[in-house]
Formats: sequence, structure tokens, C-alpha cells
Amino acid sequence: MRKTLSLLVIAAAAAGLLSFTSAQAAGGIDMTVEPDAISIGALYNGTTVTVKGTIPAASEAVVRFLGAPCELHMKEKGKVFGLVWMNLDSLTFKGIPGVCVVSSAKDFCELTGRNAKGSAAEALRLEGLRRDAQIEAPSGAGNDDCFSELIKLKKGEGLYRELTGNVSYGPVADGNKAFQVEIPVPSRLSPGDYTVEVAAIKDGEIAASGRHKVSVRLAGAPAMLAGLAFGHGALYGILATVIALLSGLAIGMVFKSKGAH
Amino acid sequence: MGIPLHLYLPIAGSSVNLLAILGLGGAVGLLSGIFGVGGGFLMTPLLIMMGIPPTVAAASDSNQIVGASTSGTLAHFRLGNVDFKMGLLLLAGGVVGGTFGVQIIKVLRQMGNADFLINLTYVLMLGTIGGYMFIESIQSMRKVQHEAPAPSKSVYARIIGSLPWQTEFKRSGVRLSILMPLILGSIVGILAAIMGVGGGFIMVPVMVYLLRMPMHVVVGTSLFQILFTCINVTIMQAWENHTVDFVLALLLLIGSSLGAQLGAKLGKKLHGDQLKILLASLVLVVMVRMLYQLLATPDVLLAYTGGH
Repeated sequence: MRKTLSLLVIAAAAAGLLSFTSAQAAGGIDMTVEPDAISIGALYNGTTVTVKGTIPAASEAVVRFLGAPCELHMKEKGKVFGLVWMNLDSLTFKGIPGVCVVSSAKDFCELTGRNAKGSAAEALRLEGLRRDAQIEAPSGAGNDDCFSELIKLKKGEGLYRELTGNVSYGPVADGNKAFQVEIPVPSRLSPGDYTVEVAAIKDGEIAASGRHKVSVRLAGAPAMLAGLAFGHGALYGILATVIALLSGLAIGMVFKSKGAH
Repeated sequence: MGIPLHLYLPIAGSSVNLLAILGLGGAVGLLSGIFGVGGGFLMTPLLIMMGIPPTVAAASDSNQIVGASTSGTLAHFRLGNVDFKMGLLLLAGGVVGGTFGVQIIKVLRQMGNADFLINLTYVLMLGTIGGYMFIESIQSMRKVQHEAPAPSKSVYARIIGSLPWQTEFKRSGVRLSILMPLILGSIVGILAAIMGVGGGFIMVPVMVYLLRMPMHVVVGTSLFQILFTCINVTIMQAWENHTVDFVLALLLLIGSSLGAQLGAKLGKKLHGDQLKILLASLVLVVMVRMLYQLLATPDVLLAYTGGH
């Protein structure tokens, strides 16, 4: 039974991938991404990425802002002696993007077509990330519920979001319509390469698609500090301690000079 | 152009509100100055609640405690509240105990269920210390109101009086064997290593009840000892795990150093029993919160590895 289920999942994943690549082959999407490079300076507190382009007139745009797939080491919580909640089994999630913001003009349920569960549009939602994810657990624990819990956790951190209504359309010309979307990029962002994916959905399937890379880099003081912390850990630790000591002494002196006692 | 209220923390990988971090540092620093506890058992969970990764929260908190306890120790030193001799002996014991405790936790982790034992230790320690301090302080306050306490020599006093290498601790006004601070420092070091904290909230009751030190000297001496513990933790965490976010620590430090100065002055105005009853209440509140976390179904059944 489990084997059959695994085969079905693999087949569905393969079909999804094929449909995506064939859609790309069938028709690309003209798009621009502004900005396509984000600098994280000292005052960075999230930003907005604007995506503009055209899609076939009869389709709807679903736009995703995705982080590169990564590994997440976590603990699954469970009850001990049927009484207290504890971190128990270790889990490793593989192939999970650190950030995933999905945008659409309409409610996602309206895009999925008749075959809601298996549709390509459904696969573009947060739950669709399950398709490429792997869960490894030495104890044999880890199941579909764990993935749902991961999405809940990431949503709570503001790193996974599903937004409706932030995609707007322009006039139709030559069978295509213009679209524009403002993607809110979270403040909790790590440097690396991110991807903006646009899929034109028609009857629940991908009619055309396009993607664009967005690079995120540290700049200024954060870049200098991160370089020191990760490149010269011991020196960074000693400097952090000395500065903390001197700051504590300085504040102590200031209070004394004001005649506190 | 307004004043920027957010700052990006490169090690935590997150942006934080400046006023929120300064306020948090100030509030915890105030408690640190009043009670002589590092505040790690309060600050770290609050930082995690603000979205800082647990490992970064714990390590950066140690970094800020270095500054806060420097400021606090200086303030208490000026008030004549630091017993350096006692502090150094407790510190020596704490280093030995801490090293042993780290090995214990390694073995526990290999056996599995280490987290269960850590949490259980937390609840039991906080409950026992907080409960005892609370009851004892109330009894003490009632005695002061009604009658002068009759001097008595308990079994415990006779035992510690019979230990070898008795020496005078002038600042604390007690005569004890040097074995006492060394052994008690080691026990607190073991517990602190298991629980992943500086150990201030365990050390303070140990000094008051087992070393019989006056409360005001306890606070200053505890801060002096915490300073060295946190210097060690900061350097090790930055070197081994790259989890010290110096910008976060500096922001917390600005708030907590100011808070610690005010706390030291406020503490001086309070009676020893009042200080004890306030610290006991704080410890009991944290214990109840931890107990609730253990018993209530969590919102999310997953947690990141690391932190405490």
C-alpha cells in the first residue's frame, strides 16, 4: 500500500515537472523584475519587488518569490508519559525553500479548475512545496503532518505567505494582457539567490511560464560584521567581549560623573 | 526624514525594531541590577519570541550580559557590595562544575530525552528555589514585625563550622571553610551547564541560604562572578558556533547597562527581605510559564534544533 502510494507521488511529481517544462516550451512570458538585486544594508527592513509583464489574455498570473532549496534540521514535538510536551525526534527537511511568497489576483481556489487536488495551479501553492520536499528521520518518524507543521511554522515567521489581490492587470492587446505584481520581501532575509517565477494559469493548468533570478547580498556594515564573524570567529568573539566590557565601564563612569551616589 | 527605527542583524539574519530591543534590554537590566541575576533565563526566551533564532539569542545574550554585569559590578563595587574573595572561589568551583556539566549533557543527549531532563531540572529548580525563598522571606518579615529572632546554632551551622580551612570573608561578614564556596560553586556550575544558563538565579539563593551572606553583598558578588562566566561563553560561542550577533548584543547592552545602574540604586532602597520576595516571585512566574509550556499543546509541533 505504502509502495503504491510512493509510486503515485513520484508519478504525480514527474507529471507536474513535465507539465511545467512543457509549458515553458509552449510559451514563455515576457517579464521584468525591479530590482533584480537586493542589498541588505544596516537599515534593511524588508523591501518590495515589482514584477511586470504580459501573459495570455484568458489566463491568470500566479507569481512566486522563492528562496533556494535548503536543509532544515528540526525536532518534532511529542508527549512524554502522555503528560508533557517535549522536543523528541530529529527531522531533516530537504529541498525546502527558505522563503516562499505566492501571489495571485484571484482566490487560489478559483484557479485550480475541476481537478483541484492534482492541478498544476494547486502545485504552485505553499502545500505544493511538499512535492519536492524530502523528510529524513533517523527514528523513522516524520510524515505528511510534519510538512503541514513546517508550513505553519514558516507562516508564523512571515517567510511563507499566500497573497491574493496584489496582482493587477492592464489592457489586452494582441491576445495578451499586461500584469503587475508587488511582492513584499520579508525583513527576515538571508543573502543568496532567489527566484521570481510567473505562471499563467488557464483551466487549472500552466499555459505559459517564466522565471527571473534575484540576488540578495549583504552590504556595508552587515557585510563587514558577517565577514568577521564567519571568517575570524575567535577574533570577533574577543572584540565583542572587549567592546561589551568597555561599554559597561563607560556607562558606569557616566553615572558616577553625574554624581549618582 | 525620520529616525530609522529598524536595524538589520547580520548574524541573526533578521531586522529588529530598535526601540523594542532597547526597551527589552532596559527591563531585563533593571532586574539584573536589583537582584544580581544575569537575566539570561528571561532575555533569551523573549528574544526568541521576537523572532531571533534560539542559538543566536542565547549567545548574543551572553555577550550583552558581559557589559551589563560590568556596569552592575562597578555600581555595586562603589557601594561596597562585592566580595571578591568569595566571588573568585565560587567562580573557580563554577568553572570545574561547568566543565563537568557539559560532559553530563553530552552523555544525556546521546542517551536521548536530554531535553526532557533539562526542562524537568528547570521546573524543579525554579519551583524549589522560588517557593523556598518566597515562604522564607514572608516568615522573616513577620518575625521582624513581631519579635527579634532568637540566635540558634542549627545542625547545618555546626557542620559548616567543623569543616577545615576556615577563613574570614570580611566583606560578607562570615567565617567559612574555603571548601564551601568551591563545592557550592561546582554544584551551581553543573546545574547551569545542564540548563544552559549563567546560573545567577541559582547562585543568589545559594549565597543567601547556604553561605549566609547578606543580600546586598550577594547581588554585587553574583554580578562579578557572572561577568567571567559570560566572557567565556561569548568567546566560545563566537569561535565554535558563529552565533554571537554583536549588533544585537550592543543594542541590548545599551538598554541593560542603563537598567542595571538604575536597578542597583533601586535595590539599595529595598530591604533584603523585600528583594528576596521579589526575586522569588519572578522565579515562580518563570517556573509557571515553563510548566504551562510543558503541559499545553504547542501551536506548532516542530522546533528548530539549538537554543534552550
